[in-house]
Amino acid sequence: MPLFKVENLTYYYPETEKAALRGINLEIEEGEFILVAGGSGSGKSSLARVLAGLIPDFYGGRIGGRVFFKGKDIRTMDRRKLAMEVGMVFQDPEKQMVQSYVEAEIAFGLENLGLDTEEMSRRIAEVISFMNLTSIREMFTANLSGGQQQKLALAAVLAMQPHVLILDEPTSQLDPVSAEEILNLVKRLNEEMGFTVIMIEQRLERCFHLADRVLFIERGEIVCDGKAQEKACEAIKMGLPFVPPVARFFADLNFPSVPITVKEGRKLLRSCLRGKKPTSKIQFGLCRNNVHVEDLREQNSVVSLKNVWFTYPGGQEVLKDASLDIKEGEFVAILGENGAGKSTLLKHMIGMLKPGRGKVHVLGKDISKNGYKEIRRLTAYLSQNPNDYLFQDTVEDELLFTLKNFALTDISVVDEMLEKFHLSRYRKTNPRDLSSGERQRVALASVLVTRPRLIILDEPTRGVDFRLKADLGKFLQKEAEKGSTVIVVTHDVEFAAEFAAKVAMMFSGRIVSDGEKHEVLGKSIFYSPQIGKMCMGICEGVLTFAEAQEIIFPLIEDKRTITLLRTGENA
Amino acid sequence: MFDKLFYQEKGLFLQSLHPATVLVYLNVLFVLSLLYQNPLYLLGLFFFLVLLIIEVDGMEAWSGFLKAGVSLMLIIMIINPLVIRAGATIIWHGPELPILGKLDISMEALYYGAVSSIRLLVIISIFCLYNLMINPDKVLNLFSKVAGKSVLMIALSTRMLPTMVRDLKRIKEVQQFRGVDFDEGSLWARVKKYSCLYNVLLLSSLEDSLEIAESMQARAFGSGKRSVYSRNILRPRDIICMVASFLALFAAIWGLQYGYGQYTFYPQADFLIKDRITLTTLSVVIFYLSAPIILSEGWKNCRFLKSKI
Amino acid sequence: MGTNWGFYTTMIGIFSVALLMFSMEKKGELTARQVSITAVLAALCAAGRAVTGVGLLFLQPTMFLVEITGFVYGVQIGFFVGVMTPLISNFFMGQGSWTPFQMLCWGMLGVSGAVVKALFPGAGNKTLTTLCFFWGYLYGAIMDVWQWSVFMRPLTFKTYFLILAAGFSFDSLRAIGNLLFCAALGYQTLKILQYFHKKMDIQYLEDL
Repeated sequence: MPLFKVENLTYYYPETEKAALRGINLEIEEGEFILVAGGSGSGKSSLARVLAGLIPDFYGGRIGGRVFFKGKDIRTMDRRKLAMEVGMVFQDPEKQMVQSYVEAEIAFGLENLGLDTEEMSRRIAEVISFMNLTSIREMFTANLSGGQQQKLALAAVLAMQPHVLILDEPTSQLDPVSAEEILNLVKRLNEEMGFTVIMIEQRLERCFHLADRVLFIERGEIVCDGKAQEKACEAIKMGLPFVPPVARFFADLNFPSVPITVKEGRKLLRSCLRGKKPTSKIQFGLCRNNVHVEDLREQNSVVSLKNVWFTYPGGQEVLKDASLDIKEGEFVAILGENGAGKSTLLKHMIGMLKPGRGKVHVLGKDISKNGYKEIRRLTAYLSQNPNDYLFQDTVEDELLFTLKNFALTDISVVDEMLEKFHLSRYRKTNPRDLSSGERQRVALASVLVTRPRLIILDEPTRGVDFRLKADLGKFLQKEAEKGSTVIVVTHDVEFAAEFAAKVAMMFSGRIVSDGEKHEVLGKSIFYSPQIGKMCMGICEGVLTFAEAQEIIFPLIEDKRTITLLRTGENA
Repeated sequence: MFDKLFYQEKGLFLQSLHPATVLVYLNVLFVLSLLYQNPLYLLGLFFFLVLLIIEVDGMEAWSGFLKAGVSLMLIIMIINPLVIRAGATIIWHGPELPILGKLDISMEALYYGAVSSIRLLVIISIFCLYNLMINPDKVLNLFSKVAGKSVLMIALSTRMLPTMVRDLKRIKEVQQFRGVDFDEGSLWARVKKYSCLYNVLLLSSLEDSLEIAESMQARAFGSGKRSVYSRNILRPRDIICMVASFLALFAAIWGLQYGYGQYTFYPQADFLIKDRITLTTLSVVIFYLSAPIILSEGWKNCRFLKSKI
Repeated sequence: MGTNWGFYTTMIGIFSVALLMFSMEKKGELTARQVSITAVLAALCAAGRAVTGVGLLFLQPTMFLVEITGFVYGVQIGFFVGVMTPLISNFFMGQGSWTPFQMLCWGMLGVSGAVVKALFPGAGNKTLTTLCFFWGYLYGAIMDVWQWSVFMRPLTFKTYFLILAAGFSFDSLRAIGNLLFCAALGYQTLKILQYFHKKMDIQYLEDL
């Protein structure tokens, strides 16, 4: 008997005409690790919520079809019993904390189950030691970092000792290190403790290889379901972008079975190239971005930080002699771990913080003295959370609000912006009724109406799906080509490698590395995109998919090599 | 600011007491400060509290509390002499005023005003101590059995306040970059500007609240009767302190029965020290009250005591 | 001087808050949504009280929000949001003997919103703004009772009014602040809260 059996499930959220899920049929066996992939709004979260019993209990709406858990209809099951069997971890760690202290947070679910004190103490002790939370046991939950909070959220669910773990993009809000930790924990839970895991993820390069089975969901339907390795090819043929770069690379070469990890990828790449060494140094020049940067060497500097030091009033020294120079028309990504001082640096660039020592010049103005007011007309700043921008009744009003504040009278720019961001049909819609991707576009449009020369974005790829990320990246590239300067602070190495031209790396309040992206990321082992990791040592200097295509494809697309390989495999 | 609670864990002995013990102890102090009229007794309590505040390493917090109390103190000191006609020793015959009548300032009224300010200082110090000694979460935990949902809401709300403050700051920056100047314009214009800020926060928070609710629902909230997880441990030190607090309270009430600790200000102020028992009663009460200080010192300096309590 | 009124008023304050909270909790089972919305609104009010309060001359810019919460969400949520506002902000700024009375005032403020709803279901922002303006003074008047009973002798109306007069300018500032904020924000807030109220209640279930 399968653990979950979904029969012909269709679901509509309240007051909507479009089905979130349509005719889903699915069976999940015990102990499986299932990865659910799909674009935002595809219905993957809805499916997870159905399995956790939150739909329709919590959301209402219209539902058709049946869902069985261990042979019993989920809707006739006692909620407490279901919660004891199925645990769910959500996307945003901040929005899962209920109690003010760590230990109390873990106890929360147990209290809801009505367990006695002895049982609770035992389970809490167990979870705390398994998850290695002893050091933060007595801490105030609001002061934990995002990674710690997500770990705590997972611990709070595990304390309830479920057999099934459903995770809805558990790492999308985290930095790479914390994300890795969560994923490793989940993997251990599945492999060593036999948990059935159903995980939704956007950053597939991190977890594609962990899954036994992959489900691709589009427009509320399961379009592809099967073993990760086998389905990667199929998915690409169907035009789905939800496959990690390494797999995509080999699938494009028509390999029958594609590797999904860097290790397998490297092995295969080596055997394909058979000693052919691509002359990367020469081919370097072919990369468009590189040429672009060379052309601009002589440009004016737009943002220049000179020996900036900053200490918070609490005594925490965050910037230590940080210097950075960004020229006009550059697209720069600032990378670095949590607490490296990225946000503080950004606050200096927008003039919200004044350096303790050192100088900050932006657009020729000394903002370390005069603050943000000097530059804000020509600077667009997008904060981490697009919701910060949305409060007007219509999308149009959001754009007009900014224009009015700067006393700009040229209204035509509104049409242009709405057109550019594909928002024209939402002109009169309340921005709060839009999806998260659309909200981000509205926020971006609302700061770009002033036609700024400098665009600064703080973590713009958090919780954004593959396609939207690519759209955003291409848009920013275009802006940079037109002469605007773009600065992105991000954790997302893949994004930085794909779209930025320059990368600055921060560590402990200092800029430790700064330059053309191939120079910076090509040398790094950890801060390197998946394609970069695969090509390292085999074909130096390749970072992105496009570059790999350009440089390696001609070498391999020698029909003979592939036929040879194929026959070799068959034999 | 606002990113941490007023209470800070410093690993002190006085912070390791059971919240119920601390509540009982501080309430006894509070009740005594309200019951005692005798300036000497109030002064005694005051100096005793200073000792306690030093013991919890709270001089900095205390000075903040005192600053907040100064204006109230001034009001008390001024209003009392203005309205009290009961004093016999008139030191200044003032003019006739419309509502207040004849303005006669008496020595006794000044005296009473001064004593009231001491009481104010005592009360302020007790609350300062409360903030330094008890982890609010532990107090809430104490009431979970009676009013679980209220306690849960308070905990959730406390946890969210720092986030809100952070969000508020970020939204303000965003608005500043969209051309809003918060420090310019008339009061009405400024209120209008803040209103945008606040609308964003309200909308975002309400949206978030649905996600929090979902997480609670997923963890079986509201699926039946809840139980309570208590993290507080009762140690011998708690029993000693609790017993000592009650003894102090009884001693004080016994004394008050016989007028020790009572005091008359009008028409003429009483003797400060009527007889020797006045002092004895005070010392007995203070002695019982000093149980936590004595234990705390012992805990710091005597390893034997540390292992036993 | 025999009766110690300072003692009694303090105890009355503490016990009435405790009793009210207890009875409000038992008034009806709160769902997850209600609990989280109450907590979020209380945190918002507390943050507003703590932060913008300082920037804007302690105008207590969130009093109107508590009132409107009561108006839209009813007695229970209105009361809890009110009661929790001073309590939560004081966790960060320091609790004091003023806390129970503040809680009582803010709680009643939330209840008063619900009462307006019951008496005049069609009331708009004007009614709420007027009420909010008076609460500015009422709040001062109630808070002064405690001060008066603990530190003043004799306990006559005259001494009470003097204390009230001493705080009059401050109370007026608060009342005017309330008026301004409620006038500027009330309408929007009402709309937003009602929108989410609808979202909270729609729970229809239909089988296809």
